[in-house]
Amino acid sequence: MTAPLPSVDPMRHAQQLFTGHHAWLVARLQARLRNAADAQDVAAETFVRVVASRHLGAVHEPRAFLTTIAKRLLCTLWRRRALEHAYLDALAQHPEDLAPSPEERAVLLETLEYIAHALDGLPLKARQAFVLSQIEGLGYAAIAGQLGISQSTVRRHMAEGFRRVALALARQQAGIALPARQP
Amino acid sequence: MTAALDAATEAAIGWLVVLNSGAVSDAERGGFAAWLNAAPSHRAAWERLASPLQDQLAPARAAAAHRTGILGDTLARAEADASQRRRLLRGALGLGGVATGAALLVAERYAPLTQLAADLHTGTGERREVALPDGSTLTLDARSAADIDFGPGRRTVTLRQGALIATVSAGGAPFVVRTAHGQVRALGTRFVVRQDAADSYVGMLEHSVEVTAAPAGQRLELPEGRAARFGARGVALVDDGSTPQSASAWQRGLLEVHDQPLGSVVQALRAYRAGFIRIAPEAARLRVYGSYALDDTDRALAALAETLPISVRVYRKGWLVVIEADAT
Repeated sequence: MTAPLPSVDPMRHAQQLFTGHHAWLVARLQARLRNAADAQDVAAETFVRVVASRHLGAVHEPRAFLTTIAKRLLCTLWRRRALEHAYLDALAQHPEDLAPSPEERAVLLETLEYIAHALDGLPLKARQAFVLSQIEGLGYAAIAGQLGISQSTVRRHMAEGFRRVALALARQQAGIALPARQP
Repeated sequence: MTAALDAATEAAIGWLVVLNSGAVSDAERGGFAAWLNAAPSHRAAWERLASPLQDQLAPARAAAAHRTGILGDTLARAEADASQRRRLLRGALGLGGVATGAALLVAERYAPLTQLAADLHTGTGERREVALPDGSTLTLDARSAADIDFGPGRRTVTLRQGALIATVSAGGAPFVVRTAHGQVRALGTRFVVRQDAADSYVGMLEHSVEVTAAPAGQRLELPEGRAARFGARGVALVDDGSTPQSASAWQRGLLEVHDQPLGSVVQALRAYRAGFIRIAPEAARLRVYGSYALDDTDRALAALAETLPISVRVYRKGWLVVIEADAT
């Protein structure tokens, strides 16, 4: 006769959430998105993140909990789509480049999104400065010229950018957020 | 969530700003070295920040290298888009009328969610052999993914990405490998399946299979030693001098090529190399013959550079390879 499973089991909690609330979440998302496939995708990824979150104990307000995750997810997906469209528009202005492979595009967009997320709330030029420095490798003089700001402003933006990234890394390391890059 | 950062981390941030200016003086370098060595906590704070940051950014830096910079422009355009739509992100669920009428696209990722969610998946340069519940085995090529659905009356493998070799144990329910382009039902024991963009490939290694193309449903029985491509245009035997053996040579770490375009050779190498390989269209059209090492892509690329009229330039410690045709 086997002993009953201990109740403090993360997978069990995730399963309970799923059984109790997956259908509800899909229905709410579908009402909002008006697209069944998208609703399924977002609901699925919500539960993926629930399972992946390392601090899953019994959840007292399951629907509020799921809503928070789904909401964050939708913002992320929307932002990713916006970045992708913007990137394609920008790319269309430079046909002389060898077209980036799907992998290069995916990595650039993912990293851009990571930075946009970490630096959320900072002014556009701060985000641009950080990206120009950290992905495109420009020096501060070049960045200042391109963005029409002073070098000291560039330094201020860079400091704030690194600070935000440091905070994002600390959160990740504490297991609060999913790692930004899937291996 | 605004946590405070400790003093050492704040100092590390200051040094990151200094060292990324593109015009670092000797005095600044000296100051950094002195700070780094002044206390263990300094070095620890620096490692906690600089290393993960480098890991996070290295692939994107390689992808952006030697290209016209458009990322600043991208952010500006996305920002203009965002301020227009920000009003829409409200509502009871907190989600609001998000993207009314427009589907949410999940952008292609480096490792697409569908692949991660697959029952089996392999990473870059990784091959894997898996035993199935009925005694059959699957060998997956690098960067491949497959789902397994075994139960009473069914043995189904769905190839989501890449290629696999199936060695089917006799008896039991029909053993079927599905791809986006149709399905392959084993009548015998060993075959290789690869899913490409426009169609799929099946090669018989031992005995025979029955191939069905979707959506037309055209069917063909494929004998040992033959191969077929199947997809929207039905099923057609492959008759280009290649063999199923060469198509499955990846299992032994070899890419065997008999008169194929360099573009498809490069595509096969990509699954075995971290980083990016860019190839100009003129170079991609060149025909290639020979055997190339998949587990040593540096060697494979060097061999290609020696035998073909191309230039192969490697940047960023191997992260970026650019192949162009020699000017004639």
